[in-house]
Amino acid sequence: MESPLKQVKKYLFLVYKKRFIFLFTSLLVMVSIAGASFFMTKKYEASSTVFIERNMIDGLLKGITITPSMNDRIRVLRDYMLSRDLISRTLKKLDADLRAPTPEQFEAMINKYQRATSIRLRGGDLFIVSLRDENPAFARDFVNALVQTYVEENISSKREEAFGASRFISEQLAFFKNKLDEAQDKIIQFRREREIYSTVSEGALLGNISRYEAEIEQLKVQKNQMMAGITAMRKQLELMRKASARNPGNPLAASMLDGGAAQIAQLEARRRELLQVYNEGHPELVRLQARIDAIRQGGESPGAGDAALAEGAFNPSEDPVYVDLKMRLNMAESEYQALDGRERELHALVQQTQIKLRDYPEEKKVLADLERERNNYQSLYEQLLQRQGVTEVSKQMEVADKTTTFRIVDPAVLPRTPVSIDRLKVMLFGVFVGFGAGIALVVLLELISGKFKDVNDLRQLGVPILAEIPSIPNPVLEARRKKFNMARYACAACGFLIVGGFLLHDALGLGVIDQFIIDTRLDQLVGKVMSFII
Amino acid sequence: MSRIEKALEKAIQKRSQETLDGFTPSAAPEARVPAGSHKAHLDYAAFEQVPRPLVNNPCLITATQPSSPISEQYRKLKSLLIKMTRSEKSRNSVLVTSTVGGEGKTVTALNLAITLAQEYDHTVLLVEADLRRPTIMNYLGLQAGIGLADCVLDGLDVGEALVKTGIGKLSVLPAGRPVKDPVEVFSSVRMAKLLAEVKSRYSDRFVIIDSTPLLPFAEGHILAGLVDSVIFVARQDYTPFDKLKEALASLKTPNLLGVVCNDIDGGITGTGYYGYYGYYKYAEKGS
Repeated sequence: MESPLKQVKKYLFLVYKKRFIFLFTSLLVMVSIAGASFFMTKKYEASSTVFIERNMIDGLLKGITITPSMNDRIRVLRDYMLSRDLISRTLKKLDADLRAPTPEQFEAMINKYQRATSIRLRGGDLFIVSLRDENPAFARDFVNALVQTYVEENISSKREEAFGASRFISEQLAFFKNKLDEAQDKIIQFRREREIYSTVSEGALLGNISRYEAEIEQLKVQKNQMMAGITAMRKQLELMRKASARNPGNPLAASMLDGGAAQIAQLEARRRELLQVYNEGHPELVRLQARIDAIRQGGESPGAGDAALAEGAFNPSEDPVYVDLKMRLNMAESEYQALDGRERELHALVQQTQIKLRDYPEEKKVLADLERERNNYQSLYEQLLQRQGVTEVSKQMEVADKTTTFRIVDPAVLPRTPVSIDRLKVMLFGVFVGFGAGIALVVLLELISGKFKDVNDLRQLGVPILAEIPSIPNPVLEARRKKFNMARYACAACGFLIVGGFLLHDALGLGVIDQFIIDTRLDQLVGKVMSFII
Repeated sequence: MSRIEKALEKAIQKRSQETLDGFTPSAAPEARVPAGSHKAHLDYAAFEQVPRPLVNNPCLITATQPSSPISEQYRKLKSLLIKMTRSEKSRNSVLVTSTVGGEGKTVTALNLAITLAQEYDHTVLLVEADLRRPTIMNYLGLQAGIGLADCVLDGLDVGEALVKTGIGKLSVLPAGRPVKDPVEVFSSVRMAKLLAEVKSRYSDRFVIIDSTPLLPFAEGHILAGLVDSVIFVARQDYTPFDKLKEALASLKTPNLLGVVCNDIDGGITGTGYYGYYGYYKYAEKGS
C-alpha cells in the first residue's frame, strides 16, 4: 500500500503528464458553467414571516379549558401548507389556474409551486414561508395568499372545532339526559311493580314476615278476649230482657202489679221530667199523655199479672242500662270485626312477602342491571355536564381570539433583486467543478487505459528487468512539441482569461454581458433551444 | 569474375539506380560504403577503413551522447548481456522483439549494438529482420541495398549484403528487397542456415536481430526459436499490459533474457537517472 504522500505525488505527476487534457477539460467545464450561468433563469424570492402567538390567558386557563392543539398544527405545518389542496386553492385564488388550461398543466403547476415553496421553522415561534419564482409580483402574491389562507383557515377551524365540541357535547348531554330519565323511570316502575324499595332486602322481608306473624298472634289474643266480652254482654242483655218483667223498677211491671196507679205515677213522673225540657207538643210527651190517659180510662188492664205480656211489651230504649250495655256490645262487635279484618290483611301480607322472598334473587338482578345502566348514564351525564362547562369557556376563548394565534409579522413584499442564482458563486463553483472534472478525467483515463505503467508490475510477473531506459530526448521533436505546447498553453490562458473575465464582470456587477444577451436576444434563442432539447 | 563479385556489382548498380530514381539517403552520405571498395572489405576485417559516420539521429544516443545517463543504461544492458551469454559459448545471437509496434525495438537493438561495437572485444552484426517495415538504415543514415531477404531468397552470401557502419565494429545486414510473405522467408531452412553461419563465423561476434512485434506477426516467434537469447522490449505508458502478458506467455522459449523497459519517466520529483546528470556533465568536461 502506497503512502498517501506518494499517492498524491503520483496523481500530481499524472495530472502533469496529461496536463493538456486536464487543462482543456477544466476549461471546457468552467466556460460551460460560466456561460450557462448567464442564461439561467433569474428567480425572485418573496418571503413572509409568521409569528405563532401564545396568549397569556392560554397558560392561565390551562386545565380549565381545552384549546385545539397548536403543537400538532405546527408539527404538520410544513406538510399542510405544502399540501396539494392548499396550494391549489391559493393558485385558484390568484387566478393562476387560468394559465393552465388543462388539468395536467394545472397539476404540473401545483407540483412546481410545491417544490418551489420553502417553509422554515425558526425556534418554536416563527415560521418563514418563501417562494422563488421568475415573476417577483407573483411570488409576493402567492406567499401572501398562502399564508393568509392558512392563518384564516386555522382560526376558523379552531373556532369551528370549539363550536363543534360545544354543540356535540350539548347534543350528547340531551341524549344522555333522556337515557338517564328513561333508566330512572324503568327502575321506579320496576320497584312499583315488584314493590321493591330502596330498603328491601332478604333480611328485611323475613323481618316483615315475622313482624306480621307476631301481630297476627296478638290480634288473635285480642279477638279471643273481645269474643269473651261480647258473649258476656250478650248474656247480660238476655238476662236483663228476662228480668225486666219482674223488676219493681220496671214501670210496666209495676203498673201491672199496682193496678195501673203506679204505672200512671211513673209515666207522670217521666212526663214531668220531659216537660222541664220540652213543651207539651213534643211527640214523646204526647205519647206519654196518651198512655196515661189510656191507663186511667181503664182500657188497659195491667193487673193481669201476665209476665209474658209485660215482657213483650218491654222497650229497651227506655232502659238506660240496657241501652248502654247494648251500645258497648255493638262497639265490641265492631272492634272484633276490625281485628278480624286486620288479621286477614296481615295474613295476605305474609303471603305476599313470602312470594317476594321466593322471587327475590331474580328481581334483585333485574334491578341491579337497571341500576347499573342508570348509574352509567348518570356518570356519563355528569361528566358531560362538567365538560360542557369547559367547552363553554373554550368556545368563549376562541370567539374572543384569546388562544394561540398566528400573527403575520412580516408580509411578503415585492422582491427587487434576483436571488435564485448567485452567478459569481455559480462561476466559482464552475471553476472548482472544472478542475475536479479535469482531474477526474485524467484519473479515469489512467484507470481505463490498461497500459503498462509500472516496472514492478513486470517484476511481479517473474520476468527479469534488464534495463529501464528513460525517454530519449529528441531536440527536433522537443522543439516542435514545445511550440505546439506553447500554442496549447496560449489557448488555455485565453480560456482562463475568459473565465476570469466572467468572474470579474460579475464581481464588479457590470452587466455588460447581460445587456448584450438581451440586445441580441440570445436568451430567447437559448430558451428555444433548451425547450427543444428538453 | 566470381559469383560474389557479380552480385556485388549488381548491388552497386541497383543502389546507383535507386539514387538516380530520387531515393536520397537521410544522412551521412559519407558514411555509405564506397562502391569501389567492396572487394577490399570482403574479409570483414577492415572496419577502421570506414570513416565514422555523422550520426545525428537523436535516438541513437549511445552514438551521439555516449556519456549521457541513458547511454549508461544501455551500457548496463550490454554488461548484463555479456555476463549472461559468456557462461555458454556461442550464445551470441540475440533477438529483440516486443508486444506491438512502436515500443522501441529498433532503437534498443541499435543502441545495444552500438554500445557493444564500441568495445574493442566485440564485433557486432545487426540484422534487420523486420521485413515489413525496415528502419535501421534510416536511423543510421545509410542507404539500404540488398539484404537479408536477398540472401535467403537468392542464396547470396551474407558478406555481400553487409553494410559497415563505421561505428566501432558494427555492421548491419539490411532487410533487403521487399517480400510479400516474410513468414515464408523466416520459416525456410535457408534462413536457419544463414543465421547459424552468421553467428558461428566469428566467436567474438554478437548477432543482434531486430524483429517484428510478437502479437501481430509470426516472424518473431520463428526467430525466437532460432536464436540463443531473446530480449523483450516494453514501453511504459504505451504497451497494453494485458497484451504484454499475452506476448510474454506466447513466447514459448526458455531463452528469454528479460525485459527492457523503455521510455521510463523520471517522476515529478526529477529524481531517478537524471539525478546523476551532473556527474556526466563533469565527465564530459574532463574528456
